[in-house]
Amino acid sequence: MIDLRLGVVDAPASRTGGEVELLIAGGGPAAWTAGIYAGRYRLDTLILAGHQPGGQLALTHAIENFPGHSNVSGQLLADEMRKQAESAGARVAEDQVESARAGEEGIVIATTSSEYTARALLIATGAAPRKLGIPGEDAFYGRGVSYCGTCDAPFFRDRRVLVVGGGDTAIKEALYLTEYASEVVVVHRRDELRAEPVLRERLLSNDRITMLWSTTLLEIRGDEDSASGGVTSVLLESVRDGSKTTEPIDGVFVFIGWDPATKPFRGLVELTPDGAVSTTGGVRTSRPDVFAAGDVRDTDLRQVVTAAADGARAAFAAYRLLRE
Amino acid sequence: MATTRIKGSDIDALAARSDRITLVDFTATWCGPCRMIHPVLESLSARLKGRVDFYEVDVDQSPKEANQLGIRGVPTLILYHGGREIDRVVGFRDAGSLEAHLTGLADTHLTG
Repeated sequence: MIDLRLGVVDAPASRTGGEVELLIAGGGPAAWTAGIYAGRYRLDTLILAGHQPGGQLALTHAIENFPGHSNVSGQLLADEMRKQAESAGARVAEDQVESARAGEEGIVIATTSSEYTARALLIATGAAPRKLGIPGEDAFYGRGVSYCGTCDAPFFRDRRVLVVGGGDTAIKEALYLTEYASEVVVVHRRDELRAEPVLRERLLSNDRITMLWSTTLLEIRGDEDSASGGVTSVLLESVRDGSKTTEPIDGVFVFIGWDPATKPFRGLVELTPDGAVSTTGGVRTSRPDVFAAGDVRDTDLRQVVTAAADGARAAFAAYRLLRE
Repeated sequence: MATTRIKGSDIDALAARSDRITLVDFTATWCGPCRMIHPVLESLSARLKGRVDFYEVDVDQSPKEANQLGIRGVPTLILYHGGREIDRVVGFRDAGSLEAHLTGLADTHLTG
C-alpha cells in the first residue's frame, strides 16, 4: 500500500539540520538524477528522499521504456539510481519536507525533525495517486481498495477485480493483475483509451480482461463489520444513458491520475491551477533559486526518462546559479 | 527491543496479553512500502518498549491467517489488546505519526 497523505503536519522543527548548497526534495528518478549530476559538479548536496524513497518508480513492477533496459523492475532501477547519487557525493536523508519559505540566507526548509537552509532548492517531490472521492473508497482502503497493483495484486489470486482508468498506468496495472486475478474488469469513462498503442493492443488481446466503456464507478460496497470483510460489489453508471448496475467484485484498483505533491511549496513558488509547479525553460520556477523537476512540474509527459532529464538540467541550472 | 518474526498461528496467544499492546505487521518480501516501514517499526519498538510489543508475519508464509483476517494489502498493522483487535493501520506511516498513534492507543488501553 502507498501513503496517500501529502504534507502531514507534525510537531514544529526542533533541530537545526544546517546549511547546504543544493537541497533536493524528493526520492524518485528526478531527485536521484539531480543528485548524480550535482554530486559530480561538487555541489554540497542533500537529498531529502521523503517517506517513500524511489517514488512511483519503486512501486512499478516493470519498466520497459527506459533506454538500455528492455524490462527492469522499478524498485531495482530506483535502488541503482540512489546508489549512483550517493557515490557521486550526494547525501541522503529519509526525511520529508513539511514547509519551505524564503529566508535571509536562502530557502529555509523544515522537516518533521530538522530545519535546513539551502542556497538553492530543487522540488522533485513527484505526485500522489488521485482518489475517486466516492462512498466506500476510504472505508475499504486496504480491504479491497488499492492504488498499487504491484503491492497488492497477490491478494487477489483467482478473484475478480476492477480497474478504474484508461491511461498508461491503468492499463499496465490491469495487465499485471491478470497474472493473479481470474478476471480484470476495466472501467473507463470514455469510449477510447489514452494509453500508448502498444499497451492498448496488449489489453484488447488479453482474454482475462473485460472492458466496460463509457462507465463510471459510483460506489464501493462491502462488509465493513467483520474482521475478514472487504469489498464485495460496486455500483456502476453508464455515461451514455445513466443506467445503474451492481457488479460483484473482490477488489478495486484506482489509477485515474496523479496530484502533484506541492503542498509544502505553496507560497514559495507559483503553481498552476492543477497544483503543479509552474516552470519556464524546462526546470525554472518563479524564483531564481528554486527549480522543479519531474512529475511535480507542469509537463506534458510524465515518464522515468523525462524525470531523469529534468533532474540533470535542474542540477546544471543550480550549478550555474551557485558557481558562475 | 526489535521486531520479532512469528508465524500466523502464534498470533492468538500473543494477542491475548492485556498488560501491553501487541502490534502485528503483516508484510511481504516483494512489497516496497513494507521494506520502508520496517526500520520505522524497529525504532519504535525501542521507544515504546514495555507498552507495545512488535511482531511481524510474512503473508506468504502464513496465507491462511492473512486471509482469515481480511488482509488485502501490505503492510497492514493490526493492534491487539486482551485478545481483541483494537485498531488496524494500512500502508506506510512515518515514525512521528505512527508513534503518536500508538502512544494514544497505549494511553487509552493500558492502565498505570
